[in-house]
Amino acid sequence: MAKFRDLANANVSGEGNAEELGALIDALLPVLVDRLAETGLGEIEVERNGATVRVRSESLGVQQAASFGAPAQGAAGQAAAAAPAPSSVSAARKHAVRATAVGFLTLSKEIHVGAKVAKGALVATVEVLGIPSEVRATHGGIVAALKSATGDPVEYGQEIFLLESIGEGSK
Amino acid sequence: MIKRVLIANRGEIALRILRSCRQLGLEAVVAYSEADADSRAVLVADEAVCIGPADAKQSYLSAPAIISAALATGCDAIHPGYGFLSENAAFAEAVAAHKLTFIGPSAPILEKFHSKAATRALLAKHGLPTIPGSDGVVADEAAALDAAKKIGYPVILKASAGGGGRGMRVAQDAAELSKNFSICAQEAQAAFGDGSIYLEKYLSATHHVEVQIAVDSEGTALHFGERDCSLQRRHQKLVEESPSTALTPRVREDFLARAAKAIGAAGYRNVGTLEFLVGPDGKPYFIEINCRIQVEHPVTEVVTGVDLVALQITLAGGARMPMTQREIQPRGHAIEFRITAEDPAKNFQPQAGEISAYRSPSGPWVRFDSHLYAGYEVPPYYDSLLGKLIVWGATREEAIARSRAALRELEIDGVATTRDFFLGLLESPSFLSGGVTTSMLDDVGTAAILAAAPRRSGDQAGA
Repeated sequence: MAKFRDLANANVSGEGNAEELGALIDALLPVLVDRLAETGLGEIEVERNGATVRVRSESLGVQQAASFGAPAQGAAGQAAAAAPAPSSVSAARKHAVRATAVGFLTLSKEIHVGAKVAKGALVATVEVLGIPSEVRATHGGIVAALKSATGDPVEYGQEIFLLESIGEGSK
Repeated sequence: MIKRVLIANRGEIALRILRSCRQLGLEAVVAYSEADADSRAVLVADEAVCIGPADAKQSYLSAPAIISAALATGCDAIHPGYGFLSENAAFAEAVAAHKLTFIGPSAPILEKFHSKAATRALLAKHGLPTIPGSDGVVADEAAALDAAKKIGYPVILKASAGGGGRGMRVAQDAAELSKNFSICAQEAQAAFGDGSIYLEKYLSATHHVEVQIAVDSEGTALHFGERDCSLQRRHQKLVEESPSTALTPRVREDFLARAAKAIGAAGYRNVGTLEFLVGPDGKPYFIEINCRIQVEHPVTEVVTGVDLVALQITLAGGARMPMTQREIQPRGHAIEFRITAEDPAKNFQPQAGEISAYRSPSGPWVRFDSHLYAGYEVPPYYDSLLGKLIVWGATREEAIARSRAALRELEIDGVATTRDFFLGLLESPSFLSGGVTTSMLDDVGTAAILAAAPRRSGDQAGA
C-alpha cells in the first residue's frame, strides 16, 4: 500500500473481499489517480464484483465543501459568489448536473457515486417554497462525484454531481 | 430586528443597498441572475446567490425564486430595490407569509395605494390639492361643457380606458371642447373599445415636483424636501434636482408640511414619494405616489445628509423615526444626471456591450453611484442605467459648474451613453434659467442639445 499513498494527494480506501480488492487496486488505481488529476474531480468510486475502491483528492475536497451553504461564514460566501462560473471540469466526457432552481436539494435515492443514470432520469429535486423543481440528467452516464447532498441549500445552476459518460475510455 | 438582508435587485441599486447594509452592520446577500454573475454588486458582496436565468421573469421578477433564495441563505429580510417586485403587494404578502421582513410598505399598504384614482381621492380627503376634473366620466357633450365651466379652461379630455399619453385632447375654450368631444369619444371607442371620456384641468408647461417622505410604524411622518424631475423623455426622468426652481419659499414650506401630514394620516408607512405637477400658477397638484425607494433618492440624501436606504431598512425593522422634522435642514443645491447606455443621437436607442474603458468622476461634492468597471459587459436584458452622477453646490449655479467638470471627467467607452447629452443640456438657456418643464425636450429637441455639447480635445485624438 505504501507506494499508493505517495500518489498525488490521494486517499485510498477500499472494502470487500481482500483478493478481489487487491486485484482491483492493482488494475485500476493508477488509472483512477491519473483521471483524478486530469479532470479535477474530487472523488472517484469504482465498484466491481462486490469490491469498492474510492479515490479522493484532499485538496479538491476542501474546495468543494465550501461551494455553497454555511451561510453564517463570510469565507464561504466568497466561494458561493464564485461558484456559478463553470469550473474547468469540462473534460469532454464529464457533465455537471446542475440545480434548476434556488432552494433546498433532495437527491433521488439511487444517486450515489458509481450509480448509472439514464439521460432524462429524475435525479434530484430542488424545493422552492414547498414546490419541487425537477432536476433531470442532461446526459446518460455514471455518477463520478457528488458535489451536494440532500438537505443542502443550492443556488440556481450549482453543480449537484458530475456524470461521466459511458464511452470508449471507460470499459 | 433585521440581521441579514437579501438584496433582490441588480445594477447600481444593489450596490447602494449593500453599502447601507454594511454601514448598519447588517449581513447582506446579493441575489443575481445568470446574466449578472460578473456584476459589481456580486463581486463586492460577501455573499451572493444565483436565483435564475437572465430572463427577469425567472429571476428578479420571480417571487418564489427570491423568497427561496432568502430562506436558503438564512436571510430574515428582503430589500426589493426599485422596479421589479418593489411595489408588488402579492410579493410583499408572500415575503411576510414566510416570516421575512419586506423592506418597504407592507402588503395591505401597497394594496391600499395601488390605484391612482383611489389614492388621489384618499389624499384629497387628507388635504392635498389634486388636479381639478370632472367627477368621473362625463355622459355627453353638454355634461362636458358644464364640467369644463366649473374647472376652468384649458381642459384636457382623456379616455377613461386610455393610458400612456394616448387618447387625450386639449381644449382651450368651449368651442374647441364641442369640436373635440365627439372626435375624442370616437377615437377612444376605436382605440380602447370604450368611448368614456373624463375631463381634467390642463396644465401646460408643468414642473414635475416630488416630495420624499418617510413614516414610521407609529405614523410619525416626515418630509425630506422636494425633487424637481421635470426634464423627462417619454415619461422617463433624465435629470433631477433639489430644491425645485418652480416653488416659492412660502409655497414650498406649506406644501411639504401638508404632504407629510396627509401621507401619515392616510396610513402610509416606510419611505415613499408623492408626485405633484406644478402648473404655471405655481401651485402643486398631487398626481401619484411611489411606494419604494426611488432612483433619484441621492439628490435628497446629498442636500439633507440623511441615508434614505438606511432609514428605510431601519423603519422596516420596526424602529421609531430616528429624527425630527426640525433636524432635517436641506442645504445647498443638488443635481443628478442619469447616465444610461442609450444613444441620444439615435433616438436614445439602448446599447449593450463591453465597457472597454471606464473612469468615474470624483472630487469634492461629486458622487457617482454606479456598478460599472472596465471590462464589465452591459447585458441586453435589463434597463440601461449605468450610473447616477450626483453633484452638490452651495447654489444651483455652483452645482451646475461642478457638474460640467464632473461630466467631463466621466469616461465610458464601449457603449454610447447620455453623457454628452447632459454636457449639452448644461449649455441650454432653458435649463440654466431653471425653466425646465416636462415638455422642454419636445420644445428644444435632442439634436439642438447634443449640438451644444462642447467637444473634448480628447475626442479628436481617437481612443
